[in-house]
Amino acid sequence: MVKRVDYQRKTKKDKQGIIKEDKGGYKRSMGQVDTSLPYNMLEVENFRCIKSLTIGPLEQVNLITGINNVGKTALLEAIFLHIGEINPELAWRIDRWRGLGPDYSSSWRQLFWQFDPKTPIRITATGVKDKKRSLTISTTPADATIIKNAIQREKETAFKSSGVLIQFEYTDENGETRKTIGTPLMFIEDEDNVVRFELRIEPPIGLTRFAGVFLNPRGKTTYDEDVQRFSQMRIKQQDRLLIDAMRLIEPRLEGLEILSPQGITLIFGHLRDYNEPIPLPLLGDGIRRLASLILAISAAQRGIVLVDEIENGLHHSVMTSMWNMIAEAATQFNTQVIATTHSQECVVAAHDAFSKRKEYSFRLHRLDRQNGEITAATYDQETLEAALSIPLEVRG
Amino acid sequence: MMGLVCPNCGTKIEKPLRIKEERLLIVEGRDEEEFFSALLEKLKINEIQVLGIGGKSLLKDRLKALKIDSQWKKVSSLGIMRDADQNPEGAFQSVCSALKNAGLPVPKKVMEPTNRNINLNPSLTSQHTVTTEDNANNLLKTGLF
Repeated sequence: MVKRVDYQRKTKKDKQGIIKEDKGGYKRSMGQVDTSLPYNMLEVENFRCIKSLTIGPLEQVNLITGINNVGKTALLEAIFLHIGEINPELAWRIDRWRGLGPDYSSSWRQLFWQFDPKTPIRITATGVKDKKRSLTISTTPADATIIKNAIQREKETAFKSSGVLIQFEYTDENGETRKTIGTPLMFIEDEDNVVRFELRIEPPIGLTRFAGVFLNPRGKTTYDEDVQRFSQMRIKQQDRLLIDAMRLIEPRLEGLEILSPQGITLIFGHLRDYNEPIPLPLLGDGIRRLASLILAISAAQRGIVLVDEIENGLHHSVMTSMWNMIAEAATQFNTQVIATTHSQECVVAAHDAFSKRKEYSFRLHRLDRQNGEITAATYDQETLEAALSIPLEVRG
Repeated sequence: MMGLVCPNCGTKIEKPLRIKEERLLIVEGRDEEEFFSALLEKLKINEIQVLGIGGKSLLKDRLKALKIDSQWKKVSSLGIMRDADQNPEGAFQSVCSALKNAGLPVPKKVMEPTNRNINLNPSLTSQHTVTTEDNANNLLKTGLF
């Protein structure tokens, strides 16, 4: 089995990663950095289409805009790998979300800028207490060999599928470095029939500092994940926020519960005027997506939620309210949110929602491609208000 | 096709503007924008884009927004025209302060451009930033750069 990361905050590190309470009604200017957030400044080098990019300062809630193919999803992927610290399995996972199978991913070339693994990927974040945490990803060629001790089934033969190992090296805020090696294994039956792929990770990856969830438009959260996250919320009696959020789209919603009438456990909604509860997937894509988003924010408490194309499935009329709910949830669970969008309405709605809150804990970041290089421009409240009032195009 | 709609109040949002020209003339409002656009058209000058960005109190933040616009790299020359009211020197200083705040070159006098290309882009040849006030005698000179 491929090893899974349990995204729990490392208790031991909690003291070093103290979340500084930073409340109060004030506006942060561009020069001010909130050192209580997991990610304030971020540098990405040699990853996917990004040769070198610095972005920030980031806020509690962030929107990334930019034209197609400018690196918005790649930026979210870079943060996702960084949250995982020394977990090469995440590299396979982001490729799967892009539609690439493990056979393609086993050479790792597609992770690197211009498909060139000779220059390592470096992802550096400045966050809690303004200290740097850095992830370096590199590959090492090795002989393609048969590995007998990996075999778990009769008739199977395990090979290093491409003979390329991947190394994740993470230096934390105290300068301590840990690393893992990922070995892609290809299992063959009857001499030439590939039956499965697996990534062997050594040594064990352990726990991460920050919780992290990536919601992408192609790979929806599984029902199991939603059920688990809802259960956690329900146990802590924090599910009121979720129901309020879902009512934005379905005002007839009266309550939620977990049921398993046919062996599959699902979240069901009780609707006014309906005699029996309705499974969440039947309530529609928009409500399911909003529910997944609020559930993810609650699950990634004190961590980060990454959302690709946040406006998907949502009608423009609910967007300002949606941002209010995201702001409420992000504040309640102390979760940082970084989302991408192609929608000007979504940007206007976010700015509108946060402008009316006590604290404008929101920033817009636009990615541009100039002379082959990707750059980021960051709008604070005043600059975004000015740009939207002119009105200028803020989507690149 | 439907235009953008404000998610809050349902009113139609104007289509966002694009910086298209290398030379930009910033004026206060829609009346000035229409007047100078018509004047430039009459004079057969079509390489200057006139942009009404709102009243003078908004200049500071709106210059910053223009400076980080994705199309700002195109701009080599920037003219700013505003009403001097009863205080020409104060009006000039106010514009200079907004330019400085946005990290743009600041001219020494009204109608005297700086000699630095605002984008420092070697591929562009025009290298002037003109700042002036809405002085009736100087309207044409300003429009002509």
